[in-house]
Amino acid sequence: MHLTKAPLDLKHVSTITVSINDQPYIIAETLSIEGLLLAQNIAINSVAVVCNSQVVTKGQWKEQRCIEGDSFEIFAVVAGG
Amino acid sequence: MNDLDFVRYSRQILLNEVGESGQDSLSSCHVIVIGVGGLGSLVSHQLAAAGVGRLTLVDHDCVELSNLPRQLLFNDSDIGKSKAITARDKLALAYSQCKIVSITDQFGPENGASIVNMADMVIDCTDNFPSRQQVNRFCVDALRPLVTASVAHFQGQIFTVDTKSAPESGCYHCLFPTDSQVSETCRSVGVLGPMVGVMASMQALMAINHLLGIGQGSGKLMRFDGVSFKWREASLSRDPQCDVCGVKAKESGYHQSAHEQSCSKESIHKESCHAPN
Ligand SMILES: [Zn+2]
Repeated sequence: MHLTKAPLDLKHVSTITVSINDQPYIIAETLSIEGLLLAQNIAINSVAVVCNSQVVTKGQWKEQRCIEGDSFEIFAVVAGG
Repeated sequence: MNDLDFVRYSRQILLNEVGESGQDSLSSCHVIVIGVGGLGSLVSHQLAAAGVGRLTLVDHDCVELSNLPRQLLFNDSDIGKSKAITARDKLALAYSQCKIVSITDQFGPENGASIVNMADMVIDCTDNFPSRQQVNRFCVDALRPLVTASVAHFQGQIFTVDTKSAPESGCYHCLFPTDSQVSETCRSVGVLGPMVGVMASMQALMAINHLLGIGQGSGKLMRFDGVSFKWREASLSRDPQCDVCGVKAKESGYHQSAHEQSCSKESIHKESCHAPN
C-alpha cells in the first residue's frame, strides 16, 4: 500500500491535518473516510480503517467525516497462518 | 487432580488467576484448531502442554520441506505425511492427558457445523482468506468463541470473536468483508519462523485467558509489526448490516444503537475472492 500526498489547491479549500499510519496529511475538511481513501489512491476493498483506535466498519465510510487531528490506521487483511 | 498432575501444572496453578480450579477447568475444555501449519502446530502444542483436555486438529494438507523452519513440530521424516495426523501422534505421545482427534477432510460446508458445534472454543490458524470467512461464519452461527490470528511478511493480526458474550464487537466479516483483497500470504511474501511464533503464542495465551475468564481479551484487534516491533490496539466495531453476525446479534439480545441503525450498508459483498494458497 502506497500513500501519496494528493495535490490540493489550498487557496480554494479549507483544510485540516490528520495522520495516516503516523504520517501527517493535509486534506480537504469535507472529506469522508471513503473520500480520504480515494484521494490516497487506496482501493476501497483493499483495507480496513481504524480511526482514533476504533475500527470504522466499511458501511460507515461514506458518512463519517474526517476531522482535525484524526489519527487513522489503514491496513490490509493478513490471511497467512 | 492427581499428585503428578499437580506437580506438572504447578507453575500454572501457582497463578492466582488459574489455581487448581482453573487447571481443572482447562482439562474439561475441548478446543478445535483449524489449520495445523505455522500457527496451528505451535498453538496446539502450547494448548496440549498447558493441560487442555481435548483437542481436535483439522488440516487436509501434508508436511512440506518449506514448512520446517517455522512448523517446529515436524521434521524431515514427516514430509508427505498428514499434518493433522502427525501432529496428533506426536502431541498425544508427549501429553497423554490430552485427548487428541485429527480430521484430514478439508474444513468446509459439509463438516463445518458439526466440527464447530463440538467445541468450547475454535482457534483459526488457516492460511487463506476464504477459509477464515468460513470458520468465522460457522463460529458465529454456533455462538462459539473464535480466536483468530494471522501472519505474513512482518505483519500479524489477532482478535477474538465472541458473538455470545461480546456481540457489540462484531465478527471477522465486520472487519474484513468477503470482497476484501488479500495481498499477503506466507507463500507469496514470505515469513520468519519467530514472527509466526509471536502470533501463535499470543493466540494460545488469548485462548487460555478466554477459557479461564482472565482479562478482557475480547473486543480488541491487536496488530504486530515485526520490523518496528510495535503493537497496535484498536476496539472492534460491529457492522450493523453484517450478513454474518447481524441476525445472531439480534437473537442474543444485543440491541443496535440509534447511530448504528442510521448507517447504511454501502456495498453488496461479492463472493469474488480466490484462494491465494
Ligand atoms: Zn459481523
